[in-house]
Amino acid sequence: MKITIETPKQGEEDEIIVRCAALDERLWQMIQALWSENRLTGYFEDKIVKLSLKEIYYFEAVDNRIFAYTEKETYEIHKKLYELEKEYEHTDFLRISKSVIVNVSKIAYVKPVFSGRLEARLKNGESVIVSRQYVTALKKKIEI
Amino acid sequence: MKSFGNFVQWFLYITVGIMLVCAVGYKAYGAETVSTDIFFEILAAAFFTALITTFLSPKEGDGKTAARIKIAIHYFALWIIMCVIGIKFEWINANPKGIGMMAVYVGAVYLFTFLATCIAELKKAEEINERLKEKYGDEK
Repeated sequence: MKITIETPKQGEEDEIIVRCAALDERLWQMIQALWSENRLTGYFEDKIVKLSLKEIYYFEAVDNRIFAYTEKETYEIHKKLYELEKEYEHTDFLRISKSVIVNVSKIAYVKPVFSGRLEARLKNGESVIVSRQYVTALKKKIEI
Repeated sequence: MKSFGNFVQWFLYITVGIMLVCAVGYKAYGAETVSTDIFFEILAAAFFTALITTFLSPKEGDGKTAARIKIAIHYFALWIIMCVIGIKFEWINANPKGIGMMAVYVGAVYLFTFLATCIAELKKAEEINERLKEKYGDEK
């Protein structure tokens, strides 16, 4: 099987195209694996929801429980914050304080608050605080 | 290590702030000669005030009210220590007028340091915002 990796044009989304004569078991498993990497199980009351990483604005640890915040909803996630941090370190997610991992692509803008911290205003109008010690990591993430 | 970095940053800001106040003060009061001791006195004052600032400035997780209370305590702590240093180095007289003047001087250095920090932070935020716009501008 030939594997080709191309760099998308600026502004284009990363995309995986599978070109095959037939979708066999092996290929299907690979697709499933890729698919599950970008999906996360969220719990809300008695509902179980498959969340796409793209719709998550941030994760927050509250009283030893982890929550994922989408544009309007909040779901509990049965994972530890450090596990999410490790798992999604190569995506747009970034740890910005002891209790929050933010999806950097959902930040509308940042503004300084006292003592070197930044307030990140998200595209859904919510705000999260970027701790002083994580500002350098944020700059690195967005390639400054 | 983080506290040491903060200390060095505050030491530099405060040194420049005191230098500015001294420069304006000497110009306004027409001092013709200045003792070279003043440099070491400024550095000593900056050292002690930076030390206090490192430990008393608002920290992570402080709410708005806690931060404001800490700022007030910090200002009064600086005023007290600067009065002690000022009297020791004969910058001020040990009377109500001298102590009152020191409150103004500390306020001026405080304002300078605050503005310098704000400008640096704003510049950093602007840089991040520009990059965010370039990278994710159109994404919902």
